[in-house]
Amino acid sequence: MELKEIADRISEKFAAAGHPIDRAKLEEKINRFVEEFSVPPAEAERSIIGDYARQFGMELPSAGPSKQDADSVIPISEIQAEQWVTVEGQIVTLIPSRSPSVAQSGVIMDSSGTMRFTVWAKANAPVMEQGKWYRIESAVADEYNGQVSLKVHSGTTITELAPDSVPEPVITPISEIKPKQWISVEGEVTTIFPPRSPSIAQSGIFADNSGTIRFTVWASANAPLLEQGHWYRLDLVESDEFNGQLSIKVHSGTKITPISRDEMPDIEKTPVGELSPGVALVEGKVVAIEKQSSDQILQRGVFADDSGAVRFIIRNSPGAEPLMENQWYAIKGAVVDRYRGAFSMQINPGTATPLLEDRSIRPNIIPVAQAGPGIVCLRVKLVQEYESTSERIFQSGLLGDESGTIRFVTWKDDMAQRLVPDMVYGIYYASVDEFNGRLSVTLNGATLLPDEGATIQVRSPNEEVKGAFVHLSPGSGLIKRCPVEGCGRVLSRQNYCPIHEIQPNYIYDLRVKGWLDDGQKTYDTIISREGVEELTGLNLITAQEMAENNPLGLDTVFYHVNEQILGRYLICRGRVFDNRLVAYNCEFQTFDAGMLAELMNRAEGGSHE
Amino acid sequence: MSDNSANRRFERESAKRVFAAELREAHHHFREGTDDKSPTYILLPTGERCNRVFIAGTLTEKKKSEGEAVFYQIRVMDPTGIFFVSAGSYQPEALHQISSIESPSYVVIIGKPGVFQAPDGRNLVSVRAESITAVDKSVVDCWILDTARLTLDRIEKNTDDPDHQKAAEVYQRPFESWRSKVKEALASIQL
Repeated sequence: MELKEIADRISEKFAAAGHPIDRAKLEEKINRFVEEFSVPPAEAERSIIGDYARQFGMELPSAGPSKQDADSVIPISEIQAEQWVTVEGQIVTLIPSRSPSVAQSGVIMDSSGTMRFTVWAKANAPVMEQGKWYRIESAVADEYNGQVSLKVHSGTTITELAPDSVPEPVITPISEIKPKQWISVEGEVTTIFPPRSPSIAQSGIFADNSGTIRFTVWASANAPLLEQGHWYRLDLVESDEFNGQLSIKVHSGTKITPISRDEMPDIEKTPVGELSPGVALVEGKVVAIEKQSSDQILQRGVFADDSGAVRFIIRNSPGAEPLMENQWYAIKGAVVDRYRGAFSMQINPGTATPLLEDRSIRPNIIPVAQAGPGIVCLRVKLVQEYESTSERIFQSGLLGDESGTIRFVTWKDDMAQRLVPDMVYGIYYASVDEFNGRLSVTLNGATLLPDEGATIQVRSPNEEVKGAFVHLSPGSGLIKRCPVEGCGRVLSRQNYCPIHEIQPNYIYDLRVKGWLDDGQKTYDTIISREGVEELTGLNLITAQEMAENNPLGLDTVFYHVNEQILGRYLICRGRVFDNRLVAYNCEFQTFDAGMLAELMNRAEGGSHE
Repeated sequence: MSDNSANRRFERESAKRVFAAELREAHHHFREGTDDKSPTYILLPTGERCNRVFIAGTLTEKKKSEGEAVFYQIRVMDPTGIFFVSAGSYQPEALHQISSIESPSYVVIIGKPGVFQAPDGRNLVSVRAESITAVDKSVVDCWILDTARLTLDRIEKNTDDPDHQKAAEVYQRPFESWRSKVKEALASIQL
């Protein structure tokens, strides 16, 4: 067993230096590190040796990095620094050498990933060609600036792979593209941007039914011009990321194959409620048309089916025609994009076909708590009306249903409709936007239907903050309050109230003052007695007993509370104003296995939403 | 600072959640403003400034300085690597807490990160603990989830945020490359 070996090594080491170690204690120690705390054996060994060495006053020898050999082919994505490796891959690009000591350098790819490589001039290696596959035996992987690369030296053997052992290129769906890959894609050029730089021949947006991505064609690629609205297959494009935005680059090694209309892959019909960025076939009804807003835009409105609704836009380009309100259409090749968290659907000329029948449509009403940016249908009542802060606002306030509340605003226009407090309304096709992390629903353009006689029990607008409790401030634990009616201020140690002076007949209370931190924002937090009781199990009586039976007095309670909540993850419910939180109800966060699964998926996926 | 600064409400810097593997790569540090008391920050490789961290893991080693001033150096291991943490007489709370924690133990630490130059010229990131608490494993697991989520948020942040741009320029390392560390950390959780 490995643990036994570690014990052997450690005891031999110290025995040799004249310091015998109690074997049973040592094994127990190793066990504690490795089994109980899942510390990797190497770190446990290091740590224990350090402990003993300090105990015996010995100098610590530093360990060198271990080397590994590998004869079998290793996937490029698994290569780590300080390894000898054998790989099989395709040379996807060659970079002109900047130094006489380097014969060739570039990027090699296999199905698992890509890696930079350098062939030293001294290696006398055969010259490799872009696009071809090679087996590279006994190269060295090393690391510079966190990037691992492959070095081909005189001990490395390079052989070209026979064509039949080269794998077929696979088409990558756009939604699955990750940065720094060399891939093949198939899709439509949905948008071409105006030219910006002489080094770029073309740029724009490329889409398939899984998603959209920006593309760039380098001028040096000498590629044929891509046309908007046409489908292409692109072999060996490089994916890249800048500022979190993915793109694909067409360079001289990329093969471009136009795809004709009949070869185009069939796209299945997508319900409006399930749209995601990309090219889609949708059928639905134009349920609202917005007022004209600019010269470049011919029409904006809302497109819906039973599953949901989406904002659509028709640009003012040649051949573009507006849609009719209340008419059903099939849109083939609608380009769906995300803007400020909400989807929008661009309809290009010639893609909309009117459908003759007028199907009935049941709007998909959702709970307020599930509303996100986009077009929604809600059933709510007016909970609270805000005083208008701007001349342009007709009415604003808070709407709510059983699931929660949401802000709303109606801007002044000739159609604006005033909501009546406590009346229940069906709100159809209103748009939800996000400002500063807060959702707000705009009622202009939406259909509002009062439902007289209906009632809704609105969930109280308690907010929930989850975070780590990072600091407990003085004035926490058991405190004394001023007994004067309507005062209740916290007294100083000398029972002094800043208004009512010395108050010997104080009232005890429990509270927590401190900082709750969610990693983005820090809340100046007060937790009321109920919350403190829930967290610590103390109550006023037990806390008083604790203080009275201990020489530290009130401080004992403070330390007791500190020990239980400092550094812990809490869920606090209460009211939030700016960065202040007053919480009435608190609990410790427990490990959430569902969250783990969700994060695993998220970590796996690319940056596409 | 302006005269009304006393009236302005105090805003505490949030404690960033960061895995050891990322924190140890950070080396760019700067000061906001010219005042003596202006906060100093280090720039995380995933593109966020950070003046305070909240970290967790297993305390694997505890060293007390031999000199007159009491000073502790500890190593804390998370699933991706090691945090170097210290506490001296300017951190009385942490000093007091460390003295009663044995290795190995699960701990959470709130502290200020700093970049130091090792004698061989390498940069070392060490955290000066403001407080250190021995906790259950479940708190460390919660921290791993929290840190994974916030690290992914930083990786996926899709903005013209100046800190993000600066990090891209300083560290020359794709943000996406940190995804594997997040995966490693999540995979380490044993249910």
